[in-house]
Amino acid sequence: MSIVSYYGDLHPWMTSGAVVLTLVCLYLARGPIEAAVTLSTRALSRPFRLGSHALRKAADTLRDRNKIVLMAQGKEDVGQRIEREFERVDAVLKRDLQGFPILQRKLLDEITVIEEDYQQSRDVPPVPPEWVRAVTPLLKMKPGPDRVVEEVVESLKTSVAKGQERALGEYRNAVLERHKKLSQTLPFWRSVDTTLKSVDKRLAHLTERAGAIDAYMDRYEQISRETDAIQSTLSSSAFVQLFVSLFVLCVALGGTVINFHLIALPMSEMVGGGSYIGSLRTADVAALVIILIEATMGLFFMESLRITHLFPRIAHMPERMRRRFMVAALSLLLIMAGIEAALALLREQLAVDNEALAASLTAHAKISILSINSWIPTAGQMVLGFILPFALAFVAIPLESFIYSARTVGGMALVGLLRLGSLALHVTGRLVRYVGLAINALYDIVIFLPLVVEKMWHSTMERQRTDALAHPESRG
Amino acid sequence: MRRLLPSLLPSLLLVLSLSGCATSPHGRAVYVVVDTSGSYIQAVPKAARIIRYLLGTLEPGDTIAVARISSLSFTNKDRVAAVTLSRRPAQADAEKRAMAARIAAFVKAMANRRGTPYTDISGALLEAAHFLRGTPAARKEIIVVSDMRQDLPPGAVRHVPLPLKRVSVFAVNVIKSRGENMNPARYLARMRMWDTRIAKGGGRFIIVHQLSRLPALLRAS
Repeated sequence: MSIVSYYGDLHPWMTSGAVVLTLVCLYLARGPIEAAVTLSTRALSRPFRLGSHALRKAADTLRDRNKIVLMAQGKEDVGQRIEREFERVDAVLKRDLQGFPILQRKLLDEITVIEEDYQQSRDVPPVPPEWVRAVTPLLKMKPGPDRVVEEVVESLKTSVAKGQERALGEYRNAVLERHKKLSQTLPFWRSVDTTLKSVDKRLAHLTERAGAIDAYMDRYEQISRETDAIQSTLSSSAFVQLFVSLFVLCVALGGTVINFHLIALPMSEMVGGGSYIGSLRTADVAALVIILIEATMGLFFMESLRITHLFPRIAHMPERMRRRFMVAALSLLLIMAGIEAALALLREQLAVDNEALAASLTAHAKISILSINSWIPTAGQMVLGFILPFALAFVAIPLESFIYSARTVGGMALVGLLRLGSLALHVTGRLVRYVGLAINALYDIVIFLPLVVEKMWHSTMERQRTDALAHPESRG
Repeated sequence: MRRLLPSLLPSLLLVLSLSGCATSPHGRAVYVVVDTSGSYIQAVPKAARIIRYLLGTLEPGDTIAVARISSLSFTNKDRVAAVTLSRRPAQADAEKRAMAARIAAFVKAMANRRGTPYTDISGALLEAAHFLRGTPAARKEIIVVSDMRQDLPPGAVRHVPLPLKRVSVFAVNVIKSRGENMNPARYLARMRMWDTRIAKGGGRFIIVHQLSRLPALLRAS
């Protein structure tokens, strides 16, 4: 109800008087009312501000925890990769370089043989015989009148020529021998070449592995320094892992549903078809329990193989105990698979029996003879029943990825939600404060006339005071 | 492994023990009454087909009984066959086959007989109600294969209330007489009378006008 309508039934003068009186009252009550509004809105906005602050702090704490967890996971992952690389290097060293001393010995032997052959194949020029130098002055003698001398010289020339011819023949034989020696060296050179290539190849593989280790070490250092880049990389990796593992888990869920339908009917033959646990058929519950036990056995098997690391107690078992545990899990899994295969066979028999019964109960019972071989679906179901538990065992791997990545992604989502909540509370607190200010402003609008009068009075008083200060003599 | 076995064994034992001792509040009990009066005996083979269909819908652990409506039917002597199926599906199938054989024998026996002079539907319903009260089934159904025309012998008193709490009564293959064809009000009054009596007893009366709708109505009940 407005003021005008409230005073509408009164005389206009009286109405004006009442309005003025109301305005005066409102003006006089301005201070306490506006103070009350301000205090109330402040009191209301304070919890919102506090809540916003608390949520922001919680978000910061959670973000720090997330970072710690993310870095720890990253460290563990890279640590495992480095460990695996070292194992590979160790395997390479054991496999390829274990026989390195033998290889070195072989190389040295071959080099020695080659050196000896090389020494033997050196080209040594033939030394002229001593008698050639002795007879050389005689051969240089000029022919004289003495015929004997001339004959002697001729005879010497012939002997020298013969000697040279023999020496040349020997030299040729020696060169041929050296060539033979050199050609014998060729397989050794080839062998050396092959051996060195093999060594080179093995060292190249090692270098490759060393490069991978370097890369992982760099990553490890980045994680240790907790850089933003590595945090971003690890976060996006967690997102990818979450989606991939979720997809694989969905596929596994499909397999579980098929498995369930495969054994639910025959389970009713074992635990009774008409009994219920709550609203669920006992046979269905039993089938589900069997599938869950299979999944658990698969999980334990993977744990004992150290493929997954969900249960530290299993990972920290002594080696012998761990092997026993692995054999036990595998045995149970095998038994379960065998049971499933038997149940699949029973299911087929029950299905055939049901069909025969349905056909005999219908009015026009004409059983059509199927042309397909009935053993195909039976065998198919049995194989499926045997394989599915083992396939289900591998669910442990995506499950582990899902759990770890869900922790990271869920933590990040929670941080986002907390920050959103903090922002919402902050905005709400501010709004409450501004609502108080708006109410005060509206109040001032309602009583603007007295406020204008007050302002004018204040300015008049200020002017008079200024004048009095400027002309003090006028006061006297 | 020492820690694993103790954690798994109790759950397995729990499931097995629960499966062994769990009561069956989800079970179903069906009582079929077949009119063998003179005006309806020719419809007995049709009733046999309905019973065979019902046998096909029963689950292990369910109960079925078949009785005939005679001149005075509040007696278990009119019960042709009754069986609570085994919880094992294979055994239950065998019991269904045996039941079907007994029904076939009943139909064969009825083929050469004259119908009873009177029709005691109330007595048959009372007998059915008492039988169903003795079963632990959650769903209790009475299938009445009759023209629903009661004709009691002199001296027979059937004004007692029918204890049909949470029992569905299906009237199947209700044949209308020539007089009712001439005056449908008589037929409607007769059906209303049964509806009122069954509703007073706590039951539900459903007339199955088309036999093909019986499965859907049974599922809905």
